[in-house]
Amino acid sequence: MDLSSESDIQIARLLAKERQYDLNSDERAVLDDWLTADPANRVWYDELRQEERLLQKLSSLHTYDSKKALTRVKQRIQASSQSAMRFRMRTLLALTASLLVVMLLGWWVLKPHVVTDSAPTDALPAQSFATLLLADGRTVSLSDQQEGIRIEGDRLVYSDGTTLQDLTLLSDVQYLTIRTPKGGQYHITLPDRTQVWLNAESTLQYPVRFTDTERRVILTGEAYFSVTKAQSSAGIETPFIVQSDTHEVTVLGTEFNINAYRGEEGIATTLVEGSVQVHTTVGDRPYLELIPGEQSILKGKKLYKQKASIREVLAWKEGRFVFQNTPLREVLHQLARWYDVEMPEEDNIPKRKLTGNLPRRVPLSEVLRLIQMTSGLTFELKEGRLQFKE
Amino acid sequence: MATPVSGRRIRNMKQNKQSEIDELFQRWRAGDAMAYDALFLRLYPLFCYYASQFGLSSEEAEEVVQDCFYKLWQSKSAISDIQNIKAYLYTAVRNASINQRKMQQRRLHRDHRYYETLPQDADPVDSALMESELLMHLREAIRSLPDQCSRVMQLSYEQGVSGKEISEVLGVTVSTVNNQKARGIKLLRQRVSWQQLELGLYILLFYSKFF
Repeated sequence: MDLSSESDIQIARLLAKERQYDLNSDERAVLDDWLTADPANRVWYDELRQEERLLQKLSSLHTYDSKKALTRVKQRIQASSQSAMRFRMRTLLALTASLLVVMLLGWWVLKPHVVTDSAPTDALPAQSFATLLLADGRTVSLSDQQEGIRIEGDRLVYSDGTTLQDLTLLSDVQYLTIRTPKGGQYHITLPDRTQVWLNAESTLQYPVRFTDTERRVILTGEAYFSVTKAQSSAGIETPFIVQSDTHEVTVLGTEFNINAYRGEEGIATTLVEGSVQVHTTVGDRPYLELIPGEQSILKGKKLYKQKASIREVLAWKEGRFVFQNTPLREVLHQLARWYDVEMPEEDNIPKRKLTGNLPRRVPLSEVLRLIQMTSGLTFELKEGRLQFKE
Repeated sequence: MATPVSGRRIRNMKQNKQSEIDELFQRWRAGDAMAYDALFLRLYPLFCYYASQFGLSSEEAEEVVQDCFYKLWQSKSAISDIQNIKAYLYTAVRNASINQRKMQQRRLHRDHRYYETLPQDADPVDSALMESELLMHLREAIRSLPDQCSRVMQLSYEQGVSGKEISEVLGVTVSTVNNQKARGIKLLRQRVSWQQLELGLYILLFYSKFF
């Protein structure tokens, strides 16, 4: 092809113009004539246009930033290799941990129990002590030498029968309040001989005498109930009701545990024997029934039930800590309540789960040592607060 | 205009290009991590463009291609049977793009069955592949042009800068810019047009072998 002639120069101008602007009808006609004059012209024209089309598309390649993308992919590769490493480490750690648990438990069982002097960096386990608040506002410290109290006739007595308080002046419907501090635990026999084990940092309110229509107690914190059957004078069974905020458990005669510590993982009711009804005034589902081994949870407005580990739920009552894939936060909460120490800052608690079975009657340092040996997490007690050490 | 080129010369050219990529790939597999970077930087825009031809947005296309390169790295030890890295990536990106597209369609038209009307035939794939290859080579050809001509072409076509702005950036007259553009296109035509056909054929050959 030869563009030297006068007309070719005109064509080239038209082609260039066509690429930038539209041609008017005269110009279009000239170009069309040229295109039909020789098939080679058409081929050349098409190829030119295709090239042009390709060149225009080059800008879309330019939008892809290879360097930035490479950095991102490299980060991903690094992250995955780290997590693969972590995974391998974790498996190894878990294996070592299980071995250690077995060894340590064996050691615990076999070793003679020596009472260790508790340094200021340690804390002793909870004792049997609590405060009694009378309806008239008086408070009575309950002896830590006694394991519990019960109502006997008109008197409030310790479990060995020693009189604690004369109740004759209090009316039947007045409530007594038993409050356990952190690190305290108490056993209470209610007027109907229902047994209550009150865990640390909990409160139980109950009347001096129950009425015929219902037996109502109010709980915050955690307690285990072994409820007796009771009949009204008319021979109708009197329901036993445990109220915690917006949550109510109604039973006739049964054994169950309620964990209603405020601001934790909701209120959990675990049924050991018999049957219970769980009511709530806030939930989207007002009511459900549990069978033994089941646990209801009221979290916010959600009321639901799940299978429960009775062993884990009742460990506190049996004098043990039992953790089964328990979130570290919950583990620390239990320790804080039992040893009367402060929780670490929320942000400093690693997201981990622990499994283990330890006795409760040991100093805190022993428990922390066990946790460190099995999980690699180091905690120390500083100014009454548990602190996570990297 | 399309200058006939001897078969031997075509083969040499293309073998050089191909062997460069393959050499990078072999070096990476032999333990040279830098070779992976070079391979990535070289091929990334090409495969993004290819992925976008399946109807993905540029972000989605990038996502798909990054994913394929990530998987390539992860399966390093298990890829002894890959002879042609480009053919492997074409297949990987193609499948991932089609899956991505199908997922989108399903999400968009869960109640309808629009995704069944997706193009099923292989034709758009092959032309997309050829076009991606062409663009890549065009890009490399532009970089091999004489300095000023190369700058003008890159600014004009890759970055969409106007002639007037290019003249300001490079400190030359607008007519110089236009001359360089015309020269660039002419040179490209000489260098690229003959490659167009045979590169496409070359890739297709490998591509079809791979399936």
